[in-house]
Amino acid sequence: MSFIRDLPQNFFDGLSIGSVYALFALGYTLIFSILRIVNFAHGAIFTIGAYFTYVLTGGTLGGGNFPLSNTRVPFSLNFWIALVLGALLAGLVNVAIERFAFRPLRNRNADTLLSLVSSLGVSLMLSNLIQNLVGSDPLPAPEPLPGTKPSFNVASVIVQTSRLLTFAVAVIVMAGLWYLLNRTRTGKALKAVSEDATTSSLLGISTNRLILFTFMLCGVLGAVAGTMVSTNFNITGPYMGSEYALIGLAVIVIGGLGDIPGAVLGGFLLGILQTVVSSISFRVGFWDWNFSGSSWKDAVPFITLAVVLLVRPEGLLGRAQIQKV
Amino acid sequence: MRVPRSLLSSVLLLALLVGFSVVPGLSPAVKVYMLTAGALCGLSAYLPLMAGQLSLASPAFYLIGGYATGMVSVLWVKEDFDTGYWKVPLGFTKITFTSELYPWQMVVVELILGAIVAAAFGFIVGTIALRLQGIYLALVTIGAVEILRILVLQDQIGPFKGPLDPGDPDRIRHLGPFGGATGLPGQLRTAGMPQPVDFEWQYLLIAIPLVILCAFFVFRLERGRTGRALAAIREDELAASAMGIRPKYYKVLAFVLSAVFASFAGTIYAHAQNAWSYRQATFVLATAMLAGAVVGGTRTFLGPIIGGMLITGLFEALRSLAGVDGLPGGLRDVLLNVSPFVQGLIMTVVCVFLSKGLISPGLVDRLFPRDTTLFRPGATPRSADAASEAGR
Repeated sequence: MSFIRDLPQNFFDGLSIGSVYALFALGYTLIFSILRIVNFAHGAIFTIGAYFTYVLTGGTLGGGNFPLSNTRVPFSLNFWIALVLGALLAGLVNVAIERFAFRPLRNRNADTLLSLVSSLGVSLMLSNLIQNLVGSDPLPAPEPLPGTKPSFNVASVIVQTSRLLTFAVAVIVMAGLWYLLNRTRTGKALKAVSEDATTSSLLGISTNRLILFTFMLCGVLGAVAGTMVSTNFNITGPYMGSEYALIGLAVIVIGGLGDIPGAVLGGFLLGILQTVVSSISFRVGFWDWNFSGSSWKDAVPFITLAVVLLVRPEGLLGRAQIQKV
Repeated sequence: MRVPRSLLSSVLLLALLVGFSVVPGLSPAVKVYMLTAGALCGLSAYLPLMAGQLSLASPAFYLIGGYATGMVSVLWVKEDFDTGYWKVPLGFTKITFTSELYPWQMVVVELILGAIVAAAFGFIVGTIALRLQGIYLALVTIGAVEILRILVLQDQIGPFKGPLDPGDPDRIRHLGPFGGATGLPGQLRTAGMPQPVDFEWQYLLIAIPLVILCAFFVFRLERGRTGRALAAIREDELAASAMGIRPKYYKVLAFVLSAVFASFAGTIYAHAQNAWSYRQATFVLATAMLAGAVVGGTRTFLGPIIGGMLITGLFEALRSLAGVDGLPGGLRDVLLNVSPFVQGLIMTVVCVFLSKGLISPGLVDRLFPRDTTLFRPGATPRSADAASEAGR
């Protein structure tokens, strides 16, 4: 019966982690909707965002023989200011990636395959650069609200403050994104470009500037997701983003590639499914088998992906692919 | 700026060979052995690319090849400790190999078994993924690797528990059907994987013929009907299907062949590596395989072979340079950890500046000239000549 009893708790935890998945996957899906490519460097941006915030709040970097070991910036900012600044810096990194790894290929009208490979290359370079600059020691999480209780109870659910904050921040950022996309001229331009890039540039939309803006935006989304994850689970090292990078890919395919509400739905769905599955455990007496869901937890996104693709290949909210001649 | 590609590629190749022969810390045989595994991995990444499909599933098949080695050589074939002979239990009977070395025949069995399982897995993944196109395939293949990695980590799957844990005094704990987190042989055999050879260089007797065989196979495939069909699908799938080529059939075929090559690489590497676990299949490995194919050039079979060797060779060179005495600690740490950075840099630079890779199809045509006599206008096809002579 513990499964039913723990359901509210798992639902809450799933909402929290799912909000991060959604936020992170939005970064993939926005770029895909405009350029029809997947930016594999997004996982590295996630990591970089967490590190930037950590450094700006005045944290000391890890030990070892690395150039930046045991150093810290001479000031320490409030967490929320550091979050915004760190996200903007990560956005700038993403803009640089666009400039050097994507634009030369786009100008040449190269195969999309090449842009995938080149962004994979950038992703490896960035995570490895962190490893070679600061080492791979785990770092403690910055505290968003010093002085608050780490957790409190609502009925039978233990609400961890950091998880609640993660959920709140993600929802606020997503609401802002919704406003940007649906209520501003930039949002309209983005939608126009994602429908048809050539026509919209003929209509006077500056495509290149808009693409830079999108990369900036996606960098911010990824970095906020990374920082909020680090407040829950600490910074686990330079490759903390790689797990989220893969789950994020599953999220956008499940929701429908390039579909924005789909990415949000997919994120929450996977988050909740993952925590619920990890709480399942039962015994098959015939085989003497104690099944425990937690050891299958990491496979949940990909099994869900396979099932969704078999049942609804265009994704939950996606439009069917139209073959153009 | 245009660099003559044949010049660049020959300089790089030469640099690789010279650099590799002077790198300390590794025996020459091990170096060449790693290069052959790299070549197979490159071929594995290349086959889906022939049909214009980006697959990142090769590490899954590589993992399967290695586990086939582990399961056959550790769990199935048993060593008789009195005589040192190797016994293969076959239900009601058993085969005994009267040699103290692990029998090479069983390595062939491993290669075949691994290839069959990998091909089956490749068929399933390919069939699911090919309901979709292009980028979806890449994303689904990443998922396939992750699922397989988690599968081999399990302590028990249904009724399958795997061998008993020798470290458990009560003799009740099992290691899991695939050896669990420690992999194979893990604690089961302190000496590591059984070795089919006395000296390291003898691995080459298995590895080099295998690579040459695979390369020849892909070479013939490329020149024949299948290769032309794959190229047609790559250039324009719709037009190809209008010409009567079945895109689904050829794409799944490319996928299955890619799986087979990757499993070969896993099998031969597992013996030399001495141990095998889920850690062998990583996303970074997938990118390394892809990098090999892209760096070498994805228009002809020689490209991925050379590219795969270059990437593997580079990693080993960096790693063994770190072992040189008298290096400052910081530099050694950087050398040990820097290979993903170098690989990423190469991938990005090659994509942006040298998108066709090092080896051009023209080079291969010059090395292995096409038999054009068949197509010369006015000439009678040779087979027709032979037939008329036989009739006379």
